[in-house]
Amino acid sequence: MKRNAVGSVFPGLGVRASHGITGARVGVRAGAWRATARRRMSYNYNYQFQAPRSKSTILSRIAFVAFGVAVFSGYVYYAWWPRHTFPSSVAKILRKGLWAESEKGENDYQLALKHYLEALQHCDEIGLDSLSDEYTGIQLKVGEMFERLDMMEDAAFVYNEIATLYLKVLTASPKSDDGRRIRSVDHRAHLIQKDLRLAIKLVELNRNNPQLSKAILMTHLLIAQDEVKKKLGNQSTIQSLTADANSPSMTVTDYKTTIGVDANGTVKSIQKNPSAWEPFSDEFFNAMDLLSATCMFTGDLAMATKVKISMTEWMLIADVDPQKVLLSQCNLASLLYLQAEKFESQEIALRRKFVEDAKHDYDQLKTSAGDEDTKSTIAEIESTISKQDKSTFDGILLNKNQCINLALKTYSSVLEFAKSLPSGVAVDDAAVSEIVALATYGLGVVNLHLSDYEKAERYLREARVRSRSCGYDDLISEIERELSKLFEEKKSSSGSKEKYNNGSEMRVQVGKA
Amino acid sequence: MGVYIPPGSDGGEGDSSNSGNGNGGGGGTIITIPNPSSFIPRNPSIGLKLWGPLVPASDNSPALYMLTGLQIFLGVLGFHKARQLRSSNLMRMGVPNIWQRKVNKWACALGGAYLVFQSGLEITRLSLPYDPWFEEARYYRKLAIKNGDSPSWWFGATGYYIPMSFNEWNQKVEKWISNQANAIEGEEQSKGDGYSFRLQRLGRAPSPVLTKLAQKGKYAEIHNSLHDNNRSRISQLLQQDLKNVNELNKGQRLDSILEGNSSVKYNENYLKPHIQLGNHEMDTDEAFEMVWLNFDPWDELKSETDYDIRLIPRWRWQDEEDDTASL
Repeated sequence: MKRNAVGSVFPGLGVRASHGITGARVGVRAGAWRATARRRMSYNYNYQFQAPRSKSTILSRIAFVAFGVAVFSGYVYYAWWPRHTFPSSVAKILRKGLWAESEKGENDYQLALKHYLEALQHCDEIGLDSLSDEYTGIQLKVGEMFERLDMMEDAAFVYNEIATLYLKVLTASPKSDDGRRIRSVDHRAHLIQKDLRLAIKLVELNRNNPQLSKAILMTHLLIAQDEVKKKLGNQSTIQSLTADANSPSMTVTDYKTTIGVDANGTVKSIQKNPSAWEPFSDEFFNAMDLLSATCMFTGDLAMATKVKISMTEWMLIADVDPQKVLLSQCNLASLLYLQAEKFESQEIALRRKFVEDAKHDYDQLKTSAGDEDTKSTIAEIESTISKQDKSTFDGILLNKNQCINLALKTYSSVLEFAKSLPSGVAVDDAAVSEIVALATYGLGVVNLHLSDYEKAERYLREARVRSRSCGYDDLISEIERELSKLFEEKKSSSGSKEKYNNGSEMRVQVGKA
Repeated sequence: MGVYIPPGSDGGEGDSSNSGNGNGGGGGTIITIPNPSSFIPRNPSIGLKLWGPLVPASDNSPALYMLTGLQIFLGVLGFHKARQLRSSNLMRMGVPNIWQRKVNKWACALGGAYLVFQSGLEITRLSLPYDPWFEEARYYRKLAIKNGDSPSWWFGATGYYIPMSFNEWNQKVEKWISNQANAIEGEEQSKGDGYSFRLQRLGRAPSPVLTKLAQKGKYAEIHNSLHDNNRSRISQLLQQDLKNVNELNKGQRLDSILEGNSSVKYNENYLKPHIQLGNHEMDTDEAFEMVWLNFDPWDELKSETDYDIRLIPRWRWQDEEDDTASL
């Protein structure tokens, strides 16, 4: 196809050239003037021919044009002739691999692996750049075959080889040999994109080791983040992830400042700069999301929340699809709620400690709440608490309330933001309504936590209607369960004071986007 | 990502292509009559607007250069004609210089100037190192090929997208340039000592993150050992385990794997479907490249690592400390 088109350059130029010469003459002749001045016209013609161009000038013109065409087509050939991504010899081996792997070759992964390994060896022999997508692509194929054949260790080795190559090159100083392998700023961004994909893959392989996963994600994200920061230049408001890793817990004000950005529909005031994240925007936020979830699994809620806050904020700068921002915001609210619960359990533990330090039975005190006796005992206990303990306790209480309030606010902001979205263009409506259902559900759960049963029931019912209408079946079962808890709780709060304590936590739904 | 449905099939309104992600909506079997205007190519350009629907796809540089060349040629032709219509030339030829010819002359001169000027603009655009239209067109061409269509060489994957507006293009280019400038500056900072000293005095010390990472990680050493390890493993596998694996004993090998008699077994947790060649042919290098592009390992890795994490909170039933609430 391309061959034909390039070939047509010649006839095209030829036609144009001849038009050029005749066209000029016709132009002189044409017009109303033609009929009256025919005689003179012919005279002119003669006149023109009386001043003839010598044959040699015509020939030299033709030669000149031919030369121009030759140079131009040579350049076209050089610059745009479809060049093969693989050398022919490599393509030959890879073809066999693809064939063996496919249904045509009866999914013979062993044979495919053999061919891919041969191809890789051949690439080493002919000196194909190991940083190129072609080389790493073959490595990925090898890794896939290892995985399919349940040789996970070999697969991990292959993936790690690519990942460390990227790390090595990306962290090298620009002057060094490795640094020079990066051709341009765009090439660097391209490598970072691939690097992040691999990082996520490695995390998937190390599913059972959240600490390692966290370290992997942090390392690779740091590089990507450094790049983004560099590109944003002075506009950069991005805080480093490293700083957070060392800070033990966040203060409440941290939450406030960052969420304020998008809580009240002030989204548009953010200076967007998506190109700083191009082309690795998707990979970057996937990795951030995964990092946040991994932190949650390791119990580091503060870090998880922090990552999520930065992530949501950057998503707005990077101008990603609105449903992704919404989901991130919704997850942030859930994390805040989880954190509030954690603060609450700390609060309870402290209370128990206070009571037991004063040599009283905590459970007994609790069941007899309301008695005059108990009240005086509590007053007595209160007086024994040291100032330091008291301030710790107050801090926890404050944090808990802040987190609950922020969770409520954040869930509400999801609903508001979703309402303000223009419908249709560039918005995945189905995904948005699912997230809206999730946020409504979240509001229900938080209100249930606050023992505001009426509100909780209203939100949960609304969530149920919403998830029915968009077919979000996964959530419906969760809603039903929460609703049944709610009804039982309502009953028990009016009747017997029986309480449950089933240590439930967050459910993490991981789906392929 | 879901199945992509070309926006041309739903009335041509399509989706704006801001991020290049197709938003496949709900599928369904509703047959809509496509808006005929969606068949008219609307390839964007800066200086070739005159050509309307004939403008080639933004990722087709040869065609763009060809059309620009043609436009320059026409412009020069205009100049040439204007030159012929000069009053002195007409007088020499004895042709009366009536007003039509004057008008003609000016029209040719101005038209030629316009054409050449526009071509200049287009060449400027084409020589930019980053062109969002190019990226967009290339993305959708690739997508169209993946979808089994064969987009036209000249017009690109027309039914698949509506190119971004000039404003958007402009914004993207502007951002890109400023980002590049920032990035290059950052690199400069970490290069020469004198320069970084100067910058340090300006209060812009180079970011030490990467240097620290490099020192801490010793990636070069790890990579080298991994590389050597993997290479020896490859030759070991090829010389031993896989030596006798070939087309001839395929049936026997596959059978024994299925029966569980083989030392080789499949990973049951690996869920990615195998590749389907279908009617694809791989006889020539071009055909092979097509197939490889179709199953590009990096693209597959991308879809493999595209997560959607949703946190669903649950209420934790627990003791409420009414009694010590006064604390």
